[in-house]
Amino acid sequence: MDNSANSQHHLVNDPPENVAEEPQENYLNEGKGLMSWLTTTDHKRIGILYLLTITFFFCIAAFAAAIMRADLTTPQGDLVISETYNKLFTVHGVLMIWFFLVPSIPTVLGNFLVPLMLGAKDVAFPRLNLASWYVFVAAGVFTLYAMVAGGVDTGWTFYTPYSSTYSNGHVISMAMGIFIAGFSSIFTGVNFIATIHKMRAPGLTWMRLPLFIWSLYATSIVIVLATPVLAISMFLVMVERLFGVGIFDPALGGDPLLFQHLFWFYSHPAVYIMILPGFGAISEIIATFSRHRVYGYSVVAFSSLSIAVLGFLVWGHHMFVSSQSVYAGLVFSLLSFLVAVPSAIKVFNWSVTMILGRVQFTTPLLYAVGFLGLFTIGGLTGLFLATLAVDVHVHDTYFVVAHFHYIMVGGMVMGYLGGLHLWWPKITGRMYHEWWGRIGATLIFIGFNLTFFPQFILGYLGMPRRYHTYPPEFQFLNVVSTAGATILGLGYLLPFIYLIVSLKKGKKAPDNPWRATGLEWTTSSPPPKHNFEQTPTVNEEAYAYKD
Amino acid sequence: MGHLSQEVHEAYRDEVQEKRTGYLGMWAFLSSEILFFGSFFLAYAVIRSFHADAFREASGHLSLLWGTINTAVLLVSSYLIAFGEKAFELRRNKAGMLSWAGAAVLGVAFLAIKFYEYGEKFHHHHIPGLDFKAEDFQHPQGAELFHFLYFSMTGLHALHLIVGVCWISGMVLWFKLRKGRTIQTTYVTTAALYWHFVDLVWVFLYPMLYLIRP
Amino acid sequence: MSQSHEDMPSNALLLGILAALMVLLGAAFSLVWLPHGPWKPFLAILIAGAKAALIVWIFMRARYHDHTSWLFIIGGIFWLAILFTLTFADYLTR
Repeated sequence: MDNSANSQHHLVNDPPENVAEEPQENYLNEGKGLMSWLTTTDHKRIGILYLLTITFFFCIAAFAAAIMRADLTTPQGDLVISETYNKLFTVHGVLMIWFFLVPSIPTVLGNFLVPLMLGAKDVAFPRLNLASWYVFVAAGVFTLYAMVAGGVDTGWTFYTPYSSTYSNGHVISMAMGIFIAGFSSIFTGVNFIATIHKMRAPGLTWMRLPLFIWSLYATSIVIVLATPVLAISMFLVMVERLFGVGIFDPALGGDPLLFQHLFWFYSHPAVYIMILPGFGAISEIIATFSRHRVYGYSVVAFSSLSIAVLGFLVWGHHMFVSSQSVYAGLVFSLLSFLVAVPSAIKVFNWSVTMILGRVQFTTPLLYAVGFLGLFTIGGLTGLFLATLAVDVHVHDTYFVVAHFHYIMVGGMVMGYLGGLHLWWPKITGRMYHEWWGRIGATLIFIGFNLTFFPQFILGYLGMPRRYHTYPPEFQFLNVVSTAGATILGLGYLLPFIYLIVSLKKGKKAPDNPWRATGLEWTTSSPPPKHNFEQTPTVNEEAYAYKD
Repeated sequence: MGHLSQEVHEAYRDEVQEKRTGYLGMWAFLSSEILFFGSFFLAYAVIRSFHADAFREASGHLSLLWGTINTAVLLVSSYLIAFGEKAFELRRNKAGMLSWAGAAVLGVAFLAIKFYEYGEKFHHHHIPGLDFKAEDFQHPQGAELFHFLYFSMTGLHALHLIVGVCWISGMVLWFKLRKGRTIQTTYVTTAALYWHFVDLVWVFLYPMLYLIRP
Repeated sequence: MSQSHEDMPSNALLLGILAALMVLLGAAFSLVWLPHGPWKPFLAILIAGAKAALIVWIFMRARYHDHTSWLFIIGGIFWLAILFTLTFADYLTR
């Protein structure tokens, strides 16, 4: 037990000193064999199952992106034909969004940490938690089948009537995969909501919760209220394809924009499903390595909730150049500006926290700093896109591609990797190699900017997205972008390697290697099956750093 | 209250916490279900705003009588569930199981009537997409979309009801097998909430589909 | 959740709610014979809303539970209202 953590949370009984003891009982060696993993209801093991699954999907989706970038080095697109290119960006989008980004932090770090941070033995509904993983795998099977059977060329947005009437791909199977994946998300969301409301340790009031919990609570609300609408929009596409009924087909009396309304009612808030957990991880990293409470704790906490609400009011900004009414466009544009405010508040508060604290530039902090820069660029370019007139110019160009990659990859993936590094010692009981970590974080930051910054310029100059050929004058910037993607790929490969190596060769992690506050650091690394020997009692705020 | 707890799941401190968590968790799930059916309601409202006359005309081809009877069937089943829930909580397990079995029977009755109504539709060739007899309607385009929404919404509702019937009757059987032992009220509470919600959905489907006839 | 009688509806109340639901069903049913008007669908939905409120309040025990669950009851309805309002903000101003 570390001294500082000891003073933060006055436990009923301190957990035993256990760094020295060798084969100590923990959740990893509690049961042996594959079956003990496949039938587990332990939230920590389910987190590991998710970690392996989403890493698998990430690799496929990243491979698709690599082929696309390679193809784009020449204006004629020599590597693949147009149809293959369309299928590649569909697979990349579908897998990255529904099978990596949406589940990433909630199902891996969230599953592992929510009960630990709350001082609970498990999530509220452990069996539902395991069910969510099986549902997720089933969804993945449908999606991979669609991919292997011949692919889908609609893009991840499935716009009607193309997807419902004209496309020749395996739309039904892929839509089914997304439909099912939605239920997995909903199960996780329901579980977190019930857990956070009802399973907190004695004394752990709402205003003492770590900000990671606040952000996952806000995420869960968005998941629960938005995902069913996506499910119905996918359901309607499937039924319309199967039976030829025209609810989205103007020729048969329907309306294609109805699909876009339903789809974006989910898919815009889905951006917040993806980024809010990232905010949570960043808050924890910055507090830990600035050794300072997050400046304006309550403002940061409530800004997560306000994003959860405001995020639902802006979906029409994806439809500015559709036949949506101009007046509705005006309203959506105005509301889109509003949603930038809470995000800006967070960035401001994190920066102030670092100024007030004593910053240690460790690997997780490097990721967090990278996040701040990239997310700010992504957010500000979002304001360009929320402006009606500017959006008409850059709509469906690489400007949009660059914008959302700055948020999703620059923001969310940096947050996910930073969080994974922060809690890696707790999850595995091993320390990773710090210098390789720093090199990896730096490579990812450089590679990312080199990949996507040129795309802002390309988009502004008029290069449309989703085409694999382009005028020769765009070649230079495209080659720069592909070169950056190579560095980015290398950057992702590094943590993949040194984190696996750390499992065998890493130093044994103490209970609290970062001298951080938070209940998860008061138990052993890795934690025992039931998390705590005694239910902890909390009588202090989160982030009570005293040195 | 602690003395009543028998088999509290290891994640919980006591039965009170378990029950409150179950109630809240179920409501969180039901708020998701509200948006699930709500998206259909939106599709209905939008398409109806394009084809108001066609919807009225097509609604006239549904059986008002069977629709109303089915509504009454579900409302009574909800009463039985509520009555049974209370009985379980007061440890009158026999009364509880009897009234829940009654609710499950009414659920099956609803499904039977629904199935009969679907059969009528097949008989009249009013199956959107596959076999739709356009001559029967003055506004065939809107009427087909109405029938599409009718089948999707009632079909999805019926699917939920099938889950409900299995859940309720499964629990009654399970309670029966555990004779003499007390029953965890958490399971009773969540199952009851779900059943009532399926009923609620129908309460809205009834006026949307059956009551707009000319 | 103590099992005292105050935490649950009385048998008379349960029966009363059932009776009220049946009366409302009758009212909705008789709407069909009233002259046609733009108010009719709204009235029908209003009656459905009244039925729903009774079911939620007593059958689903919203009255007897802590207010946290109300957050999700009201939340679901509020978010549905967002979906309708902003979608029709488009359709009604085309």
